[in-house]
Amino acid sequence: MIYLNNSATSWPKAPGMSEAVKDTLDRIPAPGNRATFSADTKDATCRQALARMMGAADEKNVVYTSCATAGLNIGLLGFPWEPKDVVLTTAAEHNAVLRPLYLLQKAGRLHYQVMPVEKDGRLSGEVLHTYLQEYHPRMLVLTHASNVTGALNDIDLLAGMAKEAGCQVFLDASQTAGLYPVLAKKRQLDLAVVTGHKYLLGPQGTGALYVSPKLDIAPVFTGGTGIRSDEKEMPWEMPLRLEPGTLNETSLAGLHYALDWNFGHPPDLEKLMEQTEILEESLRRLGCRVVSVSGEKTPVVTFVSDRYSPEDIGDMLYGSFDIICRTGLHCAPLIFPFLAMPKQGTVRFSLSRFTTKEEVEQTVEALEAIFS
Amino acid sequence: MKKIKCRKAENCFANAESYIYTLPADIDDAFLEKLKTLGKLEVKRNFRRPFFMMETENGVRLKGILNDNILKAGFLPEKWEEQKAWLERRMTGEEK
Repeated sequence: MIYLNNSATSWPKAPGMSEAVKDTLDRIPAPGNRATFSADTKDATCRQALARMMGAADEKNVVYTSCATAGLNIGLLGFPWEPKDVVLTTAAEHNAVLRPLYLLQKAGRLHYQVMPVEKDGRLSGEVLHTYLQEYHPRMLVLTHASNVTGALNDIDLLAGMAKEAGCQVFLDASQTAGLYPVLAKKRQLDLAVVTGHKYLLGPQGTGALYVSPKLDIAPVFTGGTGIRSDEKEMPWEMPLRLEPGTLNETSLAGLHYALDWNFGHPPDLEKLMEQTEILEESLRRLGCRVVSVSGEKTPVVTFVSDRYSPEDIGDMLYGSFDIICRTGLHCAPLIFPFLAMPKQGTVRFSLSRFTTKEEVEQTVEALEAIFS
Repeated sequence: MKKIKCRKAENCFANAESYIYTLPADIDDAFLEKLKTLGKLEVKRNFRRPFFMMETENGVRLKGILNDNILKAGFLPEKWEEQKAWLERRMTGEEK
């Protein structure tokens, strides 16, 4: 099987990660205040590793979540909105951003504006400038990289512009964590999310929300915290305030392992992009329409064909050639008109650092069989 | 005799009405001959596992792998119930 759907979830995982999860599962829970496996016998916790990866100054600014979607919901639903607040977001966003914003707008808690993107999926500084001037927004929520095209936004520029305009910034780094730095403190991000199961090569069910120490997010979920059980409300101290209930410690152990593995094994982006380029060129040669992305990007290729629908291409690749990719709207329904792609969506290949040259060659052979 | 099983296919396409049928026997050339009576059939025999696809005259899209027992059907959103019923009658022999 050739797996080219790493933007959805990565495979394989960091070597040895599954053993780390199993070791935790087999371990007797420590005498903690919640059902806990954390004996803190190691030098650093998963939270500290996440803080390092996200560029947070203090691990207290890092909240464990079950995924980036959970972090986005906690950050957006718990934010102290005022009724006339405007939020800017982009047409490249995932439903993990769009749906909470829609929910909040429907509840009358804010209004949001969707900014157009370029034909590679990026938000331009010119467009952001226009919208900042017109709407004086409270917050900008945007993706670090499009999950459809792979194009990275220039966060240094865009976050800088937003901050200068007095606007808070919420970065969705789901697609870039593990490939490109998040730099939460350096970029003065107010909120940021990562997920453990994509390019961080960790297990599903893990993620993190960075909350700036200057920001107070109210709890969206409440429940047991293992300490201060006599209090009616969630303890205010961070990150406990936003972590009720039993954490997914077995998977967090896997994420910790994956983070440490990542620190010791940075990805070879040049090699990744070379392989991605081979697929892009082959697809163009075979008459497919490929979204062109220059500059910094993730290892993603998105395309369509005039001969077959994306669904049919995906079925042929999987059914006949054991190649797994993704087809359709990719949970980012607004981007396609800007890419000059049909509204039904596209076929997306998303490679990993483990994708081999042979796998890319076999994929090209399969594409040649389909389109020739 | 094994029955035909049907379940809705989960996918990421707007308004998609796609269904997966598990047939009681593998799809063979005799089955493809019957499909040809419904519309234009394309068979990719050069694939590692030969693949077929077609659109029937009434707009139903069918596809699958030769020598496998799974048939995927895509119906038009505006008349999927009618098309699904039509296809299932054809498959069970209630309609020729």
